Amino acid sequence: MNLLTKERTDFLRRLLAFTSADKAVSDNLCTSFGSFSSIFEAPPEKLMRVAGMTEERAALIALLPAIVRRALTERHPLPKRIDDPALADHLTARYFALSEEMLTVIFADKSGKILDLREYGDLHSDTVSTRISSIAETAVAIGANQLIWAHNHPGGFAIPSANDNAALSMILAACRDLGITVYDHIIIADDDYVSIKESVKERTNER
Amino acid sequence: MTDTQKSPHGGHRKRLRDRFLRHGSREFYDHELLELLLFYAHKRVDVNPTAHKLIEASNGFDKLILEDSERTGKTGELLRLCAAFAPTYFEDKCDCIRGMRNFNSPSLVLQYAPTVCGDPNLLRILCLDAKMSLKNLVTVQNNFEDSAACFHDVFLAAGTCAAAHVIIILSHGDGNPSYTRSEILAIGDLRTRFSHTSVRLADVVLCCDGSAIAASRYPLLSEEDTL
Repeated sequence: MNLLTKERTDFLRRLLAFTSADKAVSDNLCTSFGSFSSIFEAPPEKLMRVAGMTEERAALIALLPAIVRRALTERHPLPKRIDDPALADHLTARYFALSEEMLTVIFADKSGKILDLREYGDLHSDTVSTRISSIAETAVAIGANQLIWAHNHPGGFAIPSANDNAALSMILAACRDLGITVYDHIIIADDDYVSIKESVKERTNER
Repeated sequence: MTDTQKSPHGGHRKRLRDRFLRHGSREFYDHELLELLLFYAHKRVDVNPTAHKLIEASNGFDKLILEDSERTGKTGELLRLCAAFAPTYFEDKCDCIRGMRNFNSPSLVLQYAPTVCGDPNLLRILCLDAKMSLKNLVTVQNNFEDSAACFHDVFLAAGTCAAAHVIIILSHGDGNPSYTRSEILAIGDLRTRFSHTSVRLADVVLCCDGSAIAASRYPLLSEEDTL
């Protein structure tokens, strides 16, 4: 399958033309990364290793997904309640073309009214316990009774991994001790969105 | 010639770009992000007032960026590229996933399976089309040893996406890298059940401690038309 179709390579050339780059620069990017999405997900320092790439060009390539992500997030604002289906669109927009893993926690009161949304960076095993302490402290500080645990799987599938399940068990235990309910666990992979709460409900209904 | 030498706004441009490259876009206001973009269209002009005016005239940053611009010149061209970016990106992502996920050989399945398995309480079902390309990856509770219930779950998953083949991935959390006796019996029973349907059970892959084995590679467990 040819991932770099004419339309996609033309797009890249038109964009890089704003930095006076010739065709060779976009060709080098295509050869190095192999697909349109990989180019736009690459960190600037990696882009700059490609022949002909400069800081100015790398910044433009990094800017495009960032600016579109911001616009999508404004188009799909955070709803007022955690049970609002519009939350899926908001989270999908927040994670648009994001290549690094990011944990987002949405805090709500007992009635389901959203109180706050915070981002906590990656979810690696060495950071997870620090993140959970920080989340628990925030929940207590703002008087949250419920939370939604959401994160992305860059370039993967929207299904929980063993690490996700381990992290979720930790947050469930911490929340139980604090009297906070984990309302849902949401995973986003590109434009795919999986709510573990809904999946469990569907599975139960099927039986 | 550097940005600073080219224009009186060069220092501001460099600072803004450095901030973006170092810290990302989270701390940026909308108009600052737009300024960063407009620097590429207007090399020697203060683009701050233009950024504010464009957002105001479009009734919002999202409309300006996501809707096809009728503006002419370099600003219009950049805005059109922004509007086309999300559809182009998603189309490419879909092609990438389709292209990468073809399971027409057992070794591809064995490479892939450990990346999606984990919880031994769950089964992963690879739903494949007639050419063995991935249509969907479904997760269900691990009821593998109850082959009637397992057949029901897997058959439903296959039906939902009209799959022609399915591969079941199961996981052992106890460090045992071999199929248990009851799993071997379940594989035989599942094969019999699937042989009466239009869906083919192409394989049952067992993952343990990061490695995987495929039933199709064991003569006693495989069917005649393995992968």
